[in-house]
Order: sequence, then C-alpha cells, then structure tokens
Amino acid sequence: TKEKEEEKKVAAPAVVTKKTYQWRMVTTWPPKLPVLQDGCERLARRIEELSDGRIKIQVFAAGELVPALESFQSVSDGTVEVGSGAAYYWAGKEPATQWFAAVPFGLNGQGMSAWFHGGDGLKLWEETYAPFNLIPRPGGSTGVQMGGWFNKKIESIDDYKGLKMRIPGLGGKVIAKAGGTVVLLPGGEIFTSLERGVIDATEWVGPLHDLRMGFYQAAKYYYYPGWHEPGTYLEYFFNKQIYEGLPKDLQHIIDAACVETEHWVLSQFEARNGEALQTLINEKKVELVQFPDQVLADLRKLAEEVIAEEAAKTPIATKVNEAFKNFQKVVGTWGTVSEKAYYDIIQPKFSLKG
Amino acid sequence: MEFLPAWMFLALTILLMAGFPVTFTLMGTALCFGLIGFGWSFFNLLPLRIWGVMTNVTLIAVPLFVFMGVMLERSGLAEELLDTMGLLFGRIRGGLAISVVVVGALLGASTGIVGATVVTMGLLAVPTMLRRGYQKELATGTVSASGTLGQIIPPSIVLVLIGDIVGVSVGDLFMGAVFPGLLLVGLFVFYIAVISFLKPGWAPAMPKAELDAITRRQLVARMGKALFPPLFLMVAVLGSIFAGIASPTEAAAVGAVGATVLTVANRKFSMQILHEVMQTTVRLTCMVFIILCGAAAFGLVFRGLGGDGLVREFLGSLAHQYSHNMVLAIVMALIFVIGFFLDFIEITFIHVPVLAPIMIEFGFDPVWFCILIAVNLQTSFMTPPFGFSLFYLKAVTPPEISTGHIYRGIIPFVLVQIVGLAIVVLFPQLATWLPKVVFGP
Amino acid sequence: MVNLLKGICGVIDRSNEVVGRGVSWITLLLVAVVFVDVVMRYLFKTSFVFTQELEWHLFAFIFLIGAGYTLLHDGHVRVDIIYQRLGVKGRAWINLIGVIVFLIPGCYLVISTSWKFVGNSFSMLEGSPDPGGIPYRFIVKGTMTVGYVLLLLQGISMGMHALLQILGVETVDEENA
Ligand code: NA
Ligand code: NA
Repeated sequence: TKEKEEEKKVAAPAVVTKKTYQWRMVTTWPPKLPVLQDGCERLARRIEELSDGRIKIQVFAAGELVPALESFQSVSDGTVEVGSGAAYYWAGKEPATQWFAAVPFGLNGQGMSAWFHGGDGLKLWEETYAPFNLIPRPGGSTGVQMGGWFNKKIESIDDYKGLKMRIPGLGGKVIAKAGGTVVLLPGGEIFTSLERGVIDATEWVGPLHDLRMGFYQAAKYYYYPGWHEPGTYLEYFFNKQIYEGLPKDLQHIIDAACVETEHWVLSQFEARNGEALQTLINEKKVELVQFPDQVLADLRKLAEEVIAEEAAKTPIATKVNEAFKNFQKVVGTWGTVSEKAYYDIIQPKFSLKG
Repeated sequence: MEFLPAWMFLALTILLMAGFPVTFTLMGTALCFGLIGFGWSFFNLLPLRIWGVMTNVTLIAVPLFVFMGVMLERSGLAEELLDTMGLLFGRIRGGLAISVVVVGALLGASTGIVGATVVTMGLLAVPTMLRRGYQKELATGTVSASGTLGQIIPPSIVLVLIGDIVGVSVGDLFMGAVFPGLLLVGLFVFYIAVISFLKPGWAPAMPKAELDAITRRQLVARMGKALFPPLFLMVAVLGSIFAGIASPTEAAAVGAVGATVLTVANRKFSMQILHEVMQTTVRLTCMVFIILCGAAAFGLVFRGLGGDGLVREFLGSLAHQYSHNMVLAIVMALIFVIGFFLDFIEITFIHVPVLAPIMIEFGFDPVWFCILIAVNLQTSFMTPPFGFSLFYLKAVTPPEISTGHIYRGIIPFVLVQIVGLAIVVLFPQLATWLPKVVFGP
Repeated sequence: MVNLLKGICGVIDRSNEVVGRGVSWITLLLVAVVFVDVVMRYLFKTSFVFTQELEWHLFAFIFLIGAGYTLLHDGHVRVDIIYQRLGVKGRAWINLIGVIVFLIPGCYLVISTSWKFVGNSFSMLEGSPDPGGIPYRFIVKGTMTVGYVLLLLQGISMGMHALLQILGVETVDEENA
C-alpha cells in the first residue's frame, strides 16, 4: 500500500511531481520521555515541515514496534528507515561505537560537538557505521550528567569496595575495577531495589530525568559530577541505501534538521536540568555531594585502563580512540584557559543549599 | 481497510473459540492480517520483538515461582498446608477463599508478577478448594482475581511504566496505590463473604463431624507442623525482599531453594520428584512465554496496521467534544473494553501518552489519574478472551476445570473491580492522601 | 503409508521428549544460578555481570527449546469452551486444520525471519554490550530459530496424529490426551 500511495501521488497532475516518502522511526526511549523522545518527534516534524511534506516520519517509542535496544538492527536491515539512540548501546556489535556517545572522563558535550563538526569525529562515526549499512548523525548532548544517587558516602576509592551499584557500560567496568559490584536491573526494579538496599547506588541521567524517577525518595546523597557520562551524545541513524536513494535536496534537508535538533537537545537539557536542580535543592532538600578530587583522580586511572582494553578489541576501535585522545588533548588545553578559568570565577556565586 | 485492526480483533475472538492453542491462533491470525495489510517484509521486526521477551529480566521470576509451587505440590507439603488451612479457615463459609485473597495480596506486595502468583496459587489452592466442595467458578475466580492484585499493590511494574510516561515519581505512585489496593482486597473479601452467605453450597464450611473429630490439641499440633513450611517460605521470600537481600525477581529463587530444602527436610525428596518438578516447570514456563511470542506477533501487526493511530485519533477528538468528567468516563470505559484484547503494556504505551497530558490539562490530579489507569489495567488480566490470568490458571488447574468455568468464575470479580474503580473515581483522596503525608505536598 | 506416518511421528515425538528432559535440568541450573548470585552479593559483596546475564540466557533457552516438548504434552493453552465438548474425531479435525492454517505458517514465519536476525548476529559474532557480559550473544539469539524448528516439527507430528485419528487408525494415545 505504501507503494500504491506513492504511485498515486506521482500520477497526480501537479506542476512538479515529486516522490513522497512515508517513513518509520524507532527509538530507544520510552514514550514522552522529556527531551530524548521529544527530540525524535521534533526531528520528524521538522523534516516534514522543511521538506514540505515530502518525507513523513511516524515515530515509535521503545517497545511500541521493537524493543528499546533493537532500533539499530531494524534500521540496519532496512525494515525501518530511521532510528535513534546513543551509540554506546551497540558496543556488543562494535566496541568503537562507544566513543561516539560517551567514555569516562572523555569530552563534554561542547567538546563532542567540536569533534564531530570541527574535527574528524563524524567522518570516523560514518566509517564505523558503514559496515552496518547505517548513516549516523549527531543527535545532541545530554550535557554533563550527574554522578548518581548513593546511600553510602564515597570519601576514598576504597569506599567502592563492596558497593552495589546499578551502572551499565564502561562506567560499570570502572566501578568493578575499583572493587564495586555492578548490578544490572530492569528499569522497573531500580527504585524499589535502591529503597530497600538491594543496591547502594544507581546512576541515571541528570536532574530533569532523575527528579521524574523520584530517586530522592530512596537515596540520601546526590553525587556530582557524572565522570562516567560527561556529555553523552545521542544519535539519529538512517538506513544507508534509503538515505542515499533520496534526491540531494532531501538529503540536505535531513542533515539540516538533524543539526538543528542537535542544538535544540543540548539547549533543552541545559535549561531544564538547571530548573530541575533548583527544585531538588529547594523543594526536595536533596543533599548534593561532590566526589572528592582524589577519588576522581583514582577513578580516572582505572578508566584509562578500561578504555585501553576496549580500544584494543578491534582495529577501528583503536583508530577511533587515538583520534579521540588527540582531539581531547588539544581542546582540553584550550578549555583550561577558557571554560574552566571562567567557571572557577563564577562558581562560588551559586548555592547548592536550599 | 482503515478498520483492519478492528476486524483482526473480531477474527481472533472467533478463532480462539475453536480451541486450537492460543499462541498459534494469535500468530496465524496476525500473519494473515499482516499479509493483507502490509506484506511480508515488515515481519522482519518480529524476531526483534520475540528477543524483547527473551531479554525481559523481570519475567525470570515466573519459572522460579513455578519451580517453587510444583515442588511444594509434588512433595505433598502443599496438600498438608492446605488441609490445615482448610481446618483453620474452613470453619466459616468462604473462609478458604478469603485466605486465598489474603495470600494473593501478600504475594502482590512482594513481587507483583501476575503469572507467578496465579500459577503458584492455581497449583496449590484450587485443588484444595475443590476438595472442600467449593463451586468451580468461585474457586477459579478467586485465584485468578487475587493473582492480579500485585498489579496495583506496590511494588508494581505497571505503576513504574505509567509513572515514567506521565512524569510522576514512582514513590508517589507506590504510596498512592496503597489504599486503592487495600480497597480491592477488601471488596474481594466482602464479595466472597456475601456470596457464601447467599449460596451456602458454593463455599461450604467444613462438616461439623469432621471438625469435631479433631481435638484442639491435635489441631494445634497439625497446625504447627503444617504451618511451619509456608511461614518459612513466606519469611524467606518476603523477608529477603524487604531486607534488601534480593530483588523481587531474585526472591523467587530464594523461594524455589526454600521449597526444595523443606522437601528434603521432610524426607519427601526423591529423584523421581525432582524430575517431575523440573519437567513440569519447563512445560508451564513454555506455555506462558510462547503465548507472549504469539502476542508479540499480534501486537506488531496491530501497530503496523495503524491500530494505535486509530485509537489515538479517537481519544484526541474526544477532548474537544465533551465535559471533563464525561471524557474521563469514556476514557475509562474504552480502556476497559480494549483490555479484553490487548495486554497492559500495549495499552500503557498506546493510551497513556495521549491521555495523560489531556487529563492533567483538565486539572485532574496526575497521581490519581495514574492509579485509575492502573486499576483499570489490572482488569485486563481478568477479561476474556485475552486475559493472561485466565490462561495461566487454565494451564495449571486439573482437567475437570474448563475454560468455561474460568470465564464464568471471573465475571463477578470483574464487576467488583469496576465498583472499586468507581469508588476511587468518587474519592480521589484514596490515591492522593498518602503520598502527600509521606513525601509532603 | 500409515506406518510411514506413524514412524515419522514416533521419531519426532521421541526426539522432543529427549530434548525436553534435557532442558528440564536447566530449570534447576537457573534456580541455582540466581540463588548463588543473591548469596554472593549479600554475603560476599560480589556479583558478576556474567552470571546476571546467564540468568536470562538460561530462561530464554528453557522456554524456546522446551516449546516443542510442551506441545508434545499438549501443554499450550487452549480456549476449550467448544473443544472439550467434542469427541476424539472433532478434536482431531480442529488440530489438523489448526496445524495447517495456524501452526505451520506461524512457525515458518518465525523461522524464516529469525534466520536473518540470528545470521546477522552470527556474522559479527555479537557479544554483550556490558563489560564482563557473556560474549556469545549470537548463541542465545540462535535458540529462537532452533526453538521454533522444534515447535514446527512437533506441530507436523501433531497434525499427523490428528490425521491418523480421523482415519480411525490411531486411538488417542495417553501421552497426547
Ligand atoms: Na505488587
Ligand atoms: Na483481557
């Protein structure tokens, strides 16, 4: 029927008869999840508007059409045209994907954006996704995330020994190296497990999403910063044949809409995380605690080991890691005299107590 | 063509009645309508959905609780337990059924996985009730209804899902569900008490002669002996959850090990029994999850045909036409009706994202609205033809219980459920009071 | 001809019986793995992503590989409002038609689509995305295809039994009753 509709439109007596496309998009986010799922719906709407209705995309949240972590596969084999997620979800298929989302103590959102659009990040990403028949587009950053909700204080690296924490991915591997116990739990069991002490800690996203999950009702301390996800980048990906089969103007429209939404996502996260943090501080009286410098330094050493191990897994992962490290060194030096120096000046003016 | 999803429901209902196994009927119907609607290639998404069933970690509790239940049953411990329960609660009419409701509520407060609760109680409680002369409909209805209590009594998976979609904190929802959950428990008990008073033959008390034959001392001795195992298990399962030793899913394994230990301790253990337990566990586990695979195909085709769009459009158009309370009534009725055919996850994903913003804009309390949806969704487990609670019960009960008994038996409980929903609608404080007290406004 | 059908049924039935009995041991293993994980975490404050993943790997293995065995024992739920009122031949007709119309196409659907899904995973030797996880994700995915092949075979046997019953050359055997 899709073909039939398209034929009908083609046969319609118009001055310019242009082919129209009915697409589906599958995401890794629950329905209505602020910014993340909203961003996907926004992208679909913008592509339709900019293309004057030539591309219509119906967006499906996680589980609606396929389970959360199957968007990659369904777009890869072409059953669905567009997908969204975060690249580290696909580490089981190719470890190199992780550098395009987040690595512990890696680049923040601003740095990632610089790597993709000002460095060789996006080129490497396209190279990594090509064997999977996908074309990736950066989907915006969550900003620096939070360290997580703890019922035990972390004063030295030894406090991680025996700490039971829900923390997936590379961050989890670092915690395991520090002597912690990584517990994988389904989303629905995290709150109850934290409340009852099955786990001592969990990480989630940032204030906006953490507030919704109500973790402040189940944990004592809210740690920062989220060293394990310093600026997690989201992604949109398109089936390669389908994207390349589009007329050039539509390809440009898609690229433009992606960049526009990428910008929208980080802006939303920054604005609304700020607002949610105020609520957590002033209304929920949450106790904010910073990881001690020495703990962060120790974790960073462990993280370097973990990243080196991951990078050694495949040739492309080695290549991506090298490029990433070099880029981080260059922008890092610049950041020290720009962002860091500036934040150090203004930081004491903001209160972390209600 | 536009109403293909609706035709698919109708076809499924009729075809299910033929009596071929549910999972294949689901898959065959889905395949047929999918081919009419969108052709073959879309079905490439089916394995991804089945993979979703395979990776659903919460569901691991089902085989573990089945293992526990079958072990108790085969080792004869269950029989002893239920005999004693009969002695204890069998003195009054309906006493046994009431104790089933209470156990269902306790299991609900610990896990809330409907399949696990229904299977465990279906294996253990239904045979006892039948032996005590209970009407088949009342016995099965009590078990399948009590098994769904875990959906509303916290912790509850459906509340977590809804909370996530609406943006209400899980803690608030869990607190908000406490009184509505207790209300339903109370209503079930009330119904059983009334019906056993009106129909003495349906839920008989133990014959006086049998009671008199046992001295008080014997009774105490038997109780001590027979009540120890269940108390031990209850403490093991619930205790490990509330003490934070195990997650609700893992606690099921504690129960399974506990049941095995009890069997060994009572010198009832043998390789023969172990084989039977393991093999029955395989069959019951397959039964539950192969149905879910069939449902995965059905859900895929429903979405592929634009069924969710159809429902969303209809719901969206309602908001402009009627008064706020009228819209609420229509919405609740609609969820109830759709609950006959779809499972709660599908409904949560289709309805809640459309409805919640409209309802909150109307000024309804978000916590209250979420609880209403949860109570309503609980009913979907109990409504034929596609009620999971009913399927699970059918699979574990003796052959003399037919689907007909189960369907007829659930009707009064569905009605009670509607009464409960109406009470929460009329008294929103039931859902909104406790969260405010516990967490502040 | 009848003997040939009986022979094929016999082979399929015996195979799934053996498979099912083998799989039944996995239930015991599952109980043990989950229990040990709980004990290790609580008493020794340690837990492995590997065993946490093993739990759902075993679970998926049980319900897929055991599916044919369950059908052999007629363990898949039916809505039997009408079915239970029918005689042996009436039931046999429903089973025969059901196998042809629902079961064989349904199993074929899963087998053919999962073949691609699983093949993909095999070709990249897909592992777990979580560090310390089981690196053989392609194997657990493969159980989907294998499970439905076993189910299809048992379905064919079920259809043949039904045919034999309709022809009156087979009485309802105890095991399938
Ligand atoms: Na519950
Ligand atoms: Na239902």
